[in-house]
Amino acid sequence: MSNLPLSDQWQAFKEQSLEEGMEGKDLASYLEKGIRQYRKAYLQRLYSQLGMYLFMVLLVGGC
Amino acid sequence: MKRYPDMFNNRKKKQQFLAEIERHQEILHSLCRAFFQGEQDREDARQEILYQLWKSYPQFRGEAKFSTWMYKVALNTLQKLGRKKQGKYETDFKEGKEIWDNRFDQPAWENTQLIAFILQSLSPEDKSLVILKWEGYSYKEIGEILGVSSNVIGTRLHRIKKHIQKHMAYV
Repeated sequence: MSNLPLSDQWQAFKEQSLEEGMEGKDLASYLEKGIRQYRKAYLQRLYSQLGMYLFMVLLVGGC
Repeated sequence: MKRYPDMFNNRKKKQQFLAEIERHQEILHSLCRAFFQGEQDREDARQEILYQLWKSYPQFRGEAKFSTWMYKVALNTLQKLGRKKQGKYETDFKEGKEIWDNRFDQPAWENTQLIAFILQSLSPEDKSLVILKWEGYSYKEIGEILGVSSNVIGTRLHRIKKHIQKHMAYV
């Protein structure tokens, strides 16, 4: 690939991508959205595990 | 169950992290564009990469350059996302031949069609490899970033070169 100006084109591609990316949402909002999603998923897993634990306690207690 | 990451609400650390990312944000945008065609897929990828970078930020000790660490986390995330969506995009090699034939007609900074087309035709793993090569990393560094033996890099790059020639220059 060294005989082709592909690395030059990659640099041009990067510059163009930066211009396009700057027009979109800011980085902080992407990060906040990601954190919110993972926090929600974490809490869902936690509640489901707690629910299962409670169910087992009631089941064992009932026997 | 994994412990809840305790740095989620550390405002100062978040600002410091975002400032660092902002200095290197062309990496984030170009990689998302290289891996995905649709804007929605790119947005999802940006969000996922930023979250993964944020999650592993406490482990960044500054031994490698910030950009190298960013490439490592971003490419690993994109490869996982790319594998899930593989087969979704079909490459039209006739269109590729036309782009290839006209590759010297316009200067690189005016025409990024060729690079976009080449990237589109490669698997997520091969894409990661050529991007790092174009970034000027050595085989050893590429191997470290992608978690592949450096001996394999040369062979794979040779195979990618053949792939590009086969599908674009001689179709």
